[in-house]
Amino acid sequence: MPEENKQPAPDSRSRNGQHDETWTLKDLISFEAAVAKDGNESWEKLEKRDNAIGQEAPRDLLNGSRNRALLKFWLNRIKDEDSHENVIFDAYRLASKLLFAMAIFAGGSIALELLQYLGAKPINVSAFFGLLILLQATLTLTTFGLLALPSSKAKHLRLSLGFQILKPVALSLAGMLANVTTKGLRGDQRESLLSLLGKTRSSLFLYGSVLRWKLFQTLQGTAVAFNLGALAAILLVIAFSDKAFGWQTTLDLNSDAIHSLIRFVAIPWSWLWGEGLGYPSHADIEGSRIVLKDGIQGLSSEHLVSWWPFLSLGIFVYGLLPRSVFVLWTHIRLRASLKKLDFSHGSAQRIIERMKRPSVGFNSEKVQHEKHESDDGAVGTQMASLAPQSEGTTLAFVNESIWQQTDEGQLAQKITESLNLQLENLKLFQLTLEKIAQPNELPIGSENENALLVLVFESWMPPLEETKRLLRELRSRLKRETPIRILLTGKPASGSSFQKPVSTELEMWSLTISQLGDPYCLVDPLV
Amino acid sequence: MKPPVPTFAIIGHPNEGKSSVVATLAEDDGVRISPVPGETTQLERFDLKVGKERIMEFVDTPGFQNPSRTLAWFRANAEADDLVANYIQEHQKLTEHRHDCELMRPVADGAGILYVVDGSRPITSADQAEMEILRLTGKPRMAIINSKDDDTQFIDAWKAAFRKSFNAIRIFNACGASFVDRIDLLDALKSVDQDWSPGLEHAVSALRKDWKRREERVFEVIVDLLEQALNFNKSKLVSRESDLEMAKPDLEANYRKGLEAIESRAWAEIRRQYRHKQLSISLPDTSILNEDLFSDKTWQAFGLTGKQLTLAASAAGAGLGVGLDVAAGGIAFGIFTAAGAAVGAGAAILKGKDLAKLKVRHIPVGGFKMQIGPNKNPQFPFILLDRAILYAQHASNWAHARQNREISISDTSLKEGSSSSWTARQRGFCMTVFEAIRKRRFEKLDKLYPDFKDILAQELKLRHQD
Ligand SMILES: Nc1nc2c(ncn2[C@@H]2O[C@H](COP(=O)(O)OP(=O)(O)O)[C@@H](O)[C@H]2O)c(=O)[nH]1
Ligand SMILES: [Mg+2]
Repeated sequence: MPEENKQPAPDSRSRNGQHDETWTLKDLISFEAAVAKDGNESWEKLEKRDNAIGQEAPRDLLNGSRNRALLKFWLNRIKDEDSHENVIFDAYRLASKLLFAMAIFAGGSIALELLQYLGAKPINVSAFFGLLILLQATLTLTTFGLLALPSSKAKHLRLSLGFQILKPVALSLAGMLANVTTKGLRGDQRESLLSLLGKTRSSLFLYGSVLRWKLFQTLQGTAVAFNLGALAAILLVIAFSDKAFGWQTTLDLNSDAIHSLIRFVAIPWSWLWGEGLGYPSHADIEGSRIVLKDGIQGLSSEHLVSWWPFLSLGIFVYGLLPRSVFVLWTHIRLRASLKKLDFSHGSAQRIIERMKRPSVGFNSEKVQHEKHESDDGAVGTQMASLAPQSEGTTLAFVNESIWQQTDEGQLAQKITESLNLQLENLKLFQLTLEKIAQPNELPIGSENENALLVLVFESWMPPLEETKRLLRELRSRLKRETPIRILLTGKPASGSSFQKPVSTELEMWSLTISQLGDPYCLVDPLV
Repeated sequence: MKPPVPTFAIIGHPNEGKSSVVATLAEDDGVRISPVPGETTQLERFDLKVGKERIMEFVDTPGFQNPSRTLAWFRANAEADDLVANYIQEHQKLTEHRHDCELMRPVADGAGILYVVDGSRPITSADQAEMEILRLTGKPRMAIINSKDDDTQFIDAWKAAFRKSFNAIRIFNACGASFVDRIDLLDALKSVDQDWSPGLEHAVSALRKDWKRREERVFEVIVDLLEQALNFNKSKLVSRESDLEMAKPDLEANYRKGLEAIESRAWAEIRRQYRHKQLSISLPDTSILNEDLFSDKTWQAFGLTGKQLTLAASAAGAGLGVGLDVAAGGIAFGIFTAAGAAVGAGAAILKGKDLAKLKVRHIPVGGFKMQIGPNKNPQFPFILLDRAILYAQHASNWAHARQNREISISDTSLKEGSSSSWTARQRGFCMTVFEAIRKRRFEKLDKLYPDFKDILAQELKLRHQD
């Protein structure tokens, strides 16, 4: 409906100056799925689409630097356009529901198993206590300890632990993978596999904390379900049957020791339900000891039932309660991680660039014409007031053979146009063979940490090992988040000027570069 | 003593067509070729054989992955002996340099270098680095310009660049090269290094001889095909007259299937001669066997028109005397006796359907013998011949690098079947041959075949338009 597109949409959210910038995990997955899908689309089509979305976006959003809100706007538009279902998210949700159901069942059946009463002998609480209370308490405490640790310490601990155990495993896995990839696969399959691995690394880098918290939340949720199952089982058993509990041990423990252990465990609730109520008294413990040779005739039923409140409260306090707290806590942390996402990585930046780019020169004449008619003034002001993509300097390294064949001014202009940059911030360098061989001689250092790095190559020359090496080397000398953009020139048509790259060449480059697992490094055509 | 087998390493940037050049030169369509760079990861040796004898070896290699670093190393160590071996020694443990080492290996073993570039794109600094590296190896080398598309604007620049550091330059299109192009390339290689000369001399003459042998063999196959197909018939015994109609479709189908098998056996043999394992050439398959093949329309689409055929027959008559009518037998050939008058009547009389007629004979012992074929249609052998020639032309000229391995020859190209371009005399001569085949006059055929072979050889040499 072109009628609608003409007006900068007075979105309901933007009317009161508030833009939606909440991102849920589901949004995030939709976003990544949309980006992945865009990978198969032609560059021109995406340019046109996003430019149109940009035209619809509220002006203040477009001119500001609030990536989250702008991209949310974009995502909503894309979703309107094709309402594909969020398969991954739904699958995950279904899987966790199944997991919860299984955990309830598991908790219930384990508790029932441990509470089996054959009439001849009281139920031995030792196993129940050890498995469902002591073990759970230990796990809870460990989890709590890890969470409470200051994050730097935790990271250190994780790293040192992880490295000891995982590094040799990871290395041998990588070796095996390399073996597999060089043998059985076709070349294109191998490249795609490597690209998939690289993309996974990228995603982990960008969304690692979100994913970790989500995973943790699911685990804790599962634990809650397990405890619910166990608690329900014990309460049902108590309510609908007559059970006798006793204890038994081969260890040389007298009832005093058992009593103090029980009392210690019951501290959290002893203020509410004291001895004899919330936990068995000394006499109860003495009276419910099962001694094999004596049989159970001498035990009084009063002592034999005194155990169940203690067991139920134990599960509640050491299992259900802390796990529920963890679920809440991870929920908060998950939201915080989602809030922290700034969408400064390459594929997000590219969408923003496309939305912000003045459409003149990209769209067909007809579209331009339409636009001038509808809001001619706005286009002009928008072009003038567009915030450049990068405020800092841009360092552009141009491959030797391109450098020699193109006029410097023309090159600078093309680069700035391609990336929405300001000409005066751009510094051009020639990327000679010697520099590719020795990237440490490139004029890059900590002072360029916030710069934008541009590399210009020929699209028809497939990226090589040494291209990847150069990129890795550059990354090692910059921050993880410093954008590196590769711009490709197409084969010259007749003599002089460079053309737009062929899409297969662009795809080839994107595939190879994605293998680096660097979310801030991206391939684009130079136009 | 035989000269050593000349060995060449095909080297270059990734995705320039190295494997394609190897496939075509070694006549091996099993070489792995892919539009995605990085298909070849290890060196692979391909022998060019004549019979059982290896006459050349081509080594396919992965592309340069670190031209600038490799060049830097070569420059830094230019003084040292055994540069290539040293390079491999120093770099083979590095994963990044795996391909570079792999491609240097055959060079270290003494292979000549064929450096392949895609001439339809501009030269870049990486290419210049590679050329320089190869120059520094000091090994004899030839540059091959293999253009992936028709863009010729960069060819001169490539040639100029090569002149500095290569002993010879050749334009060679891996996907379009014919036998002659291949021989020319090998001939040119002789001049690159004196030492290669004897081996290459031997290879070239062996290849030429083999090519001639293949053509002879193809001729034999075609003659075989004609002998089998022209005399092919199917028969069936039926006990009751009422069963005749029922048995007819089956018999016809069998007849067709039999002809089909004869033809495809011949084709497979032709393909085998030219070492195509994956190629499949399909001609409009049913046309030769379908009944509507014998319609006027199809006659015009394939081979000769009725008029040409008539003229051919009169030419044959002129050469062979009036005996033709008798020799030919059957009504169909009746028209040729009255050559002039028959021209107009030809099309009407030449109704194919009636020519591969079903004959039913009463057998004295009881029952009936049904027989279909042999096909007496004068057009029929021409069509077989045209198809076989077309097939052989494609098989012999289809470069082994070409990724399009399912050729389907459309009817349009069949319109210009070879025989329609022959002179009436040639066609007449062919008819004499066909007639001799039909009559199984073997002594006569022995005399006719040398000339028949000349006509076919002429056709096989003509390149197809593609
Ligand atoms: N049209 C055309 N395509 C070619 C030619 N030579 C190679 N190619 C194509 O270029 C691509 C790369 O070829 P390949 O031989 O695998 O290159 P390599 O990486 O150098 O071994 C393949 O898709 C080939 O089909 C040629 O002469 N003409
Ligand atoms: Mg290859």
